[in-house]
This record gives sequence, structure tokens and C-alpha cells, in this order.
Amino acid sequence: MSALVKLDQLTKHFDLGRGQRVHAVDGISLEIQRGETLGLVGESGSGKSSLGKTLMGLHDKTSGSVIYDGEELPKHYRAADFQRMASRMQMIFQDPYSSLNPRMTVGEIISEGLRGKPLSKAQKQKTVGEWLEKVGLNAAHASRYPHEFSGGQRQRIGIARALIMSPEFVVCDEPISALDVSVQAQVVNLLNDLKTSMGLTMLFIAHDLSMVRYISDRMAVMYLGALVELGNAKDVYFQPRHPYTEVLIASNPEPDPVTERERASTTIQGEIPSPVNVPAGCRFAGRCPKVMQVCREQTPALLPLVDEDRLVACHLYSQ
Amino acid sequence: MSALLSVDNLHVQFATYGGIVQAVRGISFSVNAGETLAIVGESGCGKSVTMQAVMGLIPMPPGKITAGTAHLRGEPFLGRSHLNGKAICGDEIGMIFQDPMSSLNPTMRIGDQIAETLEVHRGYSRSEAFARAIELLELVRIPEAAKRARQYPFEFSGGMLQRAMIAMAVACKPSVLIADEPTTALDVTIQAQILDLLKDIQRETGMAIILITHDLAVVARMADKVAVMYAGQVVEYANVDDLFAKSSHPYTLGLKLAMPSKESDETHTLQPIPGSPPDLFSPPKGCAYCARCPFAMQVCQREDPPAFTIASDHRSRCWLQHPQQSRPVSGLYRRTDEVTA
Repeated sequence: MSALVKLDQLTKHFDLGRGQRVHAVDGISLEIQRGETLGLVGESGSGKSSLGKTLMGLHDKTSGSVIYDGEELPKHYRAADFQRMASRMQMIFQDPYSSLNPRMTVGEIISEGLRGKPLSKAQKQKTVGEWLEKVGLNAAHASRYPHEFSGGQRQRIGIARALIMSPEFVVCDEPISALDVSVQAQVVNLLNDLKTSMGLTMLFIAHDLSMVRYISDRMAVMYLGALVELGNAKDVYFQPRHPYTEVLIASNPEPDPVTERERASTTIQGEIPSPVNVPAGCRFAGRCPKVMQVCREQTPALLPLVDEDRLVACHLYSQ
Repeated sequence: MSALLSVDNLHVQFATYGGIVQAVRGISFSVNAGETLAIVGESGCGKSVTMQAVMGLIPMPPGKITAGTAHLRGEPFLGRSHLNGKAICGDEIGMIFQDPMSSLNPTMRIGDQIAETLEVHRGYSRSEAFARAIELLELVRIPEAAKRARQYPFEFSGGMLQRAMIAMAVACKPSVLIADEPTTALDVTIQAQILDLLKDIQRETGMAIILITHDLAVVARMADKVAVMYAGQVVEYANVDDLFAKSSHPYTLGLKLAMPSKESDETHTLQPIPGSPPDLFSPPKGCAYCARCPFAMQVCQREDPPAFTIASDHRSRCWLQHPQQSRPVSGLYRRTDEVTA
């Protein structure tokens, strides 16, 4: 397997003025292998979506680089860059209500990406029809408007819009969190089927840990702009190593009353701090149940564990 | 034995330009003091409308309660605003909502909003009520409560706002707390904190909680009894262990299979429920779940199934539970299973 996407110290800060900066993404390095699904989890405010958007070029990079298939992507995207990359990487957005233009028909929304392609109108219409069928809608729906569809159907429209470009790489930013349970499974299965048939590589951003465990090959855990743990999805879920991952998974309820009754209420106190002017040392030190003196002084690096296919950024393992 | 709160055969409909929507079509449930009842279902199944009807919060018109009764400690209260001199809404029954950001007044200090409840229902003076509001904020574990009480909603995080909502809802020591998707907008870590807090308050005060949710994992964590709703009806009603271990309605089974669990990790297939819920402008003549049900039979299209008793306090509205029905169905618990076993 070779890496399709490689992030090297990718950083995105938002300047608030008066010397205040939001450290949304802070020096993240990781590789996404061709054909894999990498799940990215963390609390809201941990920088998951910012990472996805910076990777896509929707945000300018503050520093660091994204290497896509051997080519370094520009720091600041121009219109031509978006056009060039559009057929290679695409994004599916969280909110199926606000991410579709209410004044465009579904056909116009889905075919918009094909605008620059040398295709006749009839060919485009045919492709749109095919894609509507592929995502489980009807070719006749092309002339309708987004408000005529339910949340799950709109998310399918968003998927068709992204995948009609036949990209190699897709960033899914919380694609199912606005949907009902029964519909979530429909959309996840659709994504999985399309991934197999098109050979997609996916970055799947979500806060639903059970769903990420199910859909991903590897799982990355983010806290306050930095990666704290990365490894095989099921291993990370069932044998978490970083104290933050442990807390996150201990808080995630399972649909089984017997397990839940045995669960100790070891919930974490406090909330994720503001990502403005992040202090020195480990970012999790203030909430960590296993905090040590060194954690408040030195920032732990993301290092591989011995005998395990796992990267963890924690001083507990840095001997 | 009479339940603290019981609702019987409740029907609610709304008149709209498109016609009459039958949002709630004959719901019955009951809850005892110190107990948690979870009401589970997809969006649009009528779970919130049921609770609004109980609280008297349905705007009439367009809404209308066409049939049904509700009793609190054996006394009927539906359609009344007060019971024995106490207001139903806010005093006897407290309520917390899904989105704390939009349910609080952005121009009022948090402490004043909590105090308002006590001024209205208990006749406290302003300063008494404000002092009590600070105590309530401490009860819901908000650090620096005295300072926080003087802040506005925008200065609070989502989890803190939900705590403030809980403080407001329990201010008058209600006997029933209705929590409408209290943790849907929150992260798992904060969700766990809020659920623990609700359990702790319940243990201290003995109030009953009615938890409305769509998340079966939250149900497993919180509930004693569960009512699964579909298209305005309770399709299965059971205690929490039976609901998961002896699921007796295909919809309950469908919801379980649509969620990732340890089993689905191994087989690597989630089984979604195909299609979408029926249109409640003209509910189907037969079973509402019929069109999406993998086990549907001819009778399901013709006639709406009654609630069959599976065990005491376990009911399922499914023709497969008819005593003369013997078709084998994998995964579905049947009363006959025990007889043969």
C-alpha cells in the first residue's frame, strides 16, 4: 500500500486580532493509504472539520504541507487549483439542509461539477440520471428542488454531487450526524458500496464512535488541534492507550442494558478548553485522570508503541 | 397500585393546509415515581407531540386532542392548567428541551431565568429566588455558581446551558421530569455527564423521568421501561432488558440491526430499514410499519394489529404475535418461544 495523502506538520491558525489565535489544527502529520478509510474522531472544537477543510484547500494553510499522490498542494488555492483538484478529491458535508442551494434543481446541483467537461447536454443529463439511481433516488428527481427531499435523501444528493466527479479521495465531514438511526445505516452502507465499486480512499470525520469503529480501517483521535492516538480502528476502540481515548470510549454508550449497568460512572469532569492560545505541555493535562508533572511542562510527541501498530502522544508511554 | 403519571389512548391531530395530520394515534403508557421511561422513535413519529400534549403546550388550534386521558396520582388533568392549586406545567411536571441554546432567553441572566420559575410558582421574592437559583446551579454542578448566575446564555457552553436548563426544570421539585432529547446536541463526554447528573437528581428526589430519545444506546444506559413509537403509535412497550433481549416487534428489531454493535463489526453489515415512515396525512389502513417490514403478511395491509400481550408489562403491536400465528421469524421473540422451550 502506498500513501495517497500525506500531511506534514499541517497547521491552521485563525487570527482573532489582538494577538489571539485559534489553534484549530496544530502540526498534524499523518498518511492516508490508497483505498483505506481513516476515521477521525474528537469532541466538537477539537479541529476535525478544520483539518478536513484545510486538507481540501477550503482553508489556506498556515504552515505545513499536504502531499497528494506525490504532488505538494498549494498553500493558497486559486480558482484554477480548485478546478484541477475537483476531479481528484471531493467533500461531503455535514448538514444536508444548508449545503444544497435551495434555488437550484437537484439536476443542476449534481451536474455543476461537470460544467467544464466536454460533454453534451444530453450526456450530462444521462450521467446525472445514472448517479441519482446509484445513490438510490430516481432519475426523474433531477428536476425537483432540495426542499422536496428528506434529510437522508438530501445527503444522497450531496453524495452524488461529490462522486459524479469520480474522485479518488473523499472527505466525509459528519455525513450522518443529522440523520435518524435507520437512515444512518442506509447512508453508511451506500458509502461503503460506492467505496468498494469506485476504489475510493476516505477520510471519515464523525463524533459517533461506534459508527467510526464500524466503517473505518484506522481511527485517529484528535484533541484541541493535535492528534493523540492513531491505529487500527477496532484496536483503538477496544484497547485505547491514550487517556483521552479511554475517556471518550468510556463515555460512549452501547445499545445493551447489561453492559450499561456494569459501566462505572467514570465520566470525565470539565469540558474541552478553548483552542485560543493553547498552553505549553500536553493539551489534555488539565482534564487527564493520569496527569504527571512532566505533562504540564513538555508537549508529548506522537510516537509508535513498542510491539504494537499504534501511535500515541502521551508521556505515560515515553520511556 | 396506581402509577404516578399515566396516559391512556391519547390521540392528537393537527389541522394544516395540506389536511389533517394524525400525529398521535392512541398512545398509552405509565410511569412510577423514581422510574425512568424512555420513549424511542424516529423524527416525526410523534414522541415530542405526545409530551407537549401532556404538558398542555400544544397550540389549539391548529392542534386538537381528539381522545384520551392523562392522570397524575390518579387525578385526570388533561386540558387543565392547574391540579390541586399547583400548575401542571413547570410545577408538577418539569421539562428540558433538545436545544438549550434556543430554549433560553438570550437577553436574561441565567440566574434570573431560573429565579423566574420560583417567583411565578412559589411566590418567592426576587432576592430569595435568585439565592435559590444559585443553590440550584450548585446542585447541577456548575462551578462558581454565584458568578455564573449573573452571566448570560452566550457565555455558557452547550453542556453548561443544558445543566442550567435542568436546574430550571427541577427548581419547583416536580414529580415528573420530561427530557426531550436532552443530549442530542452534545458530545459523548458531556452526554455522559448530563445523563449521570439526571440519574443523581432522580435518586435524591425520587422524581420520575420521561426521556425522549432516538438513541438506543442512551435508552440502554438510562431507562427502566421503554416505549418504542412508530407513526404515532407505541409499537412495543417493555422493560429495558426485555426490549433488548426479547425484542417482539420487527421495528425494534430493525432499529437494533441498523446500529453498529459488536456483532455487526464481525459480520460487517449494518441492516438499514428500507424506505421511510408513512405519511400521517392519510395513515395506512393496516399496520403503519407494513411497507418497511421484512416479515409483512397479507393481514398487515388490511388491518391494524392490536397490542398483543407478550408478558405482563410487555406489549407488541404486531400480527406475528397473534396466538394462532406460527410462522417462524428469525430474531423476533415470540410468546410461544417460552412454551416450546
